[in-house]
Amino acid sequence: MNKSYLKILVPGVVLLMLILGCQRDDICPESIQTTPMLVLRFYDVDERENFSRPTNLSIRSIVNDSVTTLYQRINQDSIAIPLRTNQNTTTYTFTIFDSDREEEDQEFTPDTDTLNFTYGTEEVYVNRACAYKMIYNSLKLTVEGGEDGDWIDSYIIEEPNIEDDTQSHISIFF
Amino acid sequence: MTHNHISAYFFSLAFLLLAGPVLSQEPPVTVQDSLANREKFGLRVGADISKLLRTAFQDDYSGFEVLGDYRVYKSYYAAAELGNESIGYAEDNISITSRGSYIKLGADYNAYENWTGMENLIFVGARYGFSTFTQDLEEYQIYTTNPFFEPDIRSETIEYSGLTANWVELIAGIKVEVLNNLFLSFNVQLKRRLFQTTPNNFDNLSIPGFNRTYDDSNIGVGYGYTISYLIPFYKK
Repeated sequence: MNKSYLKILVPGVVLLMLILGCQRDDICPESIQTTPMLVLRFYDVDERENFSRPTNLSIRSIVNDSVTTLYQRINQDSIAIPLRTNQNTTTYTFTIFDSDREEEDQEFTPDTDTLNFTYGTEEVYVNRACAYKMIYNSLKLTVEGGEDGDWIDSYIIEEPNIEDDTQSHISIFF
Repeated sequence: MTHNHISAYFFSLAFLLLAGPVLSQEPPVTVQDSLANREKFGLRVGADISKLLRTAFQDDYSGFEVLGDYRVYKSYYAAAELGNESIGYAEDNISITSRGSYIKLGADYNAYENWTGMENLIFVGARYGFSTFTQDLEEYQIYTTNPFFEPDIRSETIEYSGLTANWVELIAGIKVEVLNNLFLSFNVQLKRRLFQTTPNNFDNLSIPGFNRTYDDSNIGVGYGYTISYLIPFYKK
């Protein structure tokens, strides 16, 4: 073995150390499926095949003892909502025809239903950047109309095991 | 954490550069004594200074390594390292401590032709490494893409014990005799993991003796800055 061989080997190993040492792999990429969100799809109660958009739907929950808005007056036939990972239940209020306070004349009066999701949780290790994700099983839903009555007619739980958020888990008819 | 690593690498690189002048030896004037041509054979024992320094200055690290080599034949040395480490490792969403013991067995080849009477080494070698360790998962976050609810951070330590890993390693470095029979050495190590036992629903993020792992490769790196003493058995 001659010295010129070493002249290549030693700096090579040092360089590799530097590259590996400075490499950051602590950013969790968006392409990796982490904790899934619950996907809801809205359908017309009369024509159950047709997607329908609730008008000015606002979705709120209680976070840190105060009412917090997740979506404000949206008009979509499909929404994704996060579930609490540290509890087996998450409660949201769904308000249809939600109003701006400034608006005096209202075509429709707001109607609020309370949706209570219960589920089992399972932690799954992803990688060192994303750490752990939660997946859910045995999803159940109860809907309470409150004083102003139900605007949600019925629902079907399409997928009680929530492992990704690429497809709808619950169909809601109104 | 990353900052610590980077500074550790530059720290050790600085040692390498400092050792440079020592290696560029001046030829001794005239030595024709046949006795001086005889080289020492014996057992060299020592410890890794860098691990002691890191123990002193790095909050999340403690460890030591003892090492020895025995000159078997001319330029060939049988070599071994034995160590114990507790390595803290943290990413944005997870932090662990990996603690345990390791042994590395192998051989070194000295590629340096000394001037008469000197016994410095520029060496390359190979090792087989085996580690038995425990990982404490100290804190982690349930990763969510939507920050609507408060972050779910779990900080009850979970202990995963009885883990093992083995690997092969290429090592290259220099050993300089700074005083009679007393050597300072710097080496770099390139490792490839062969087998490991991982915890259920978790991974080995750091392995004593192997250092941190990477999610998508079996490669690991390391370095050592050692002091050792040669116990001469005979001259030949």
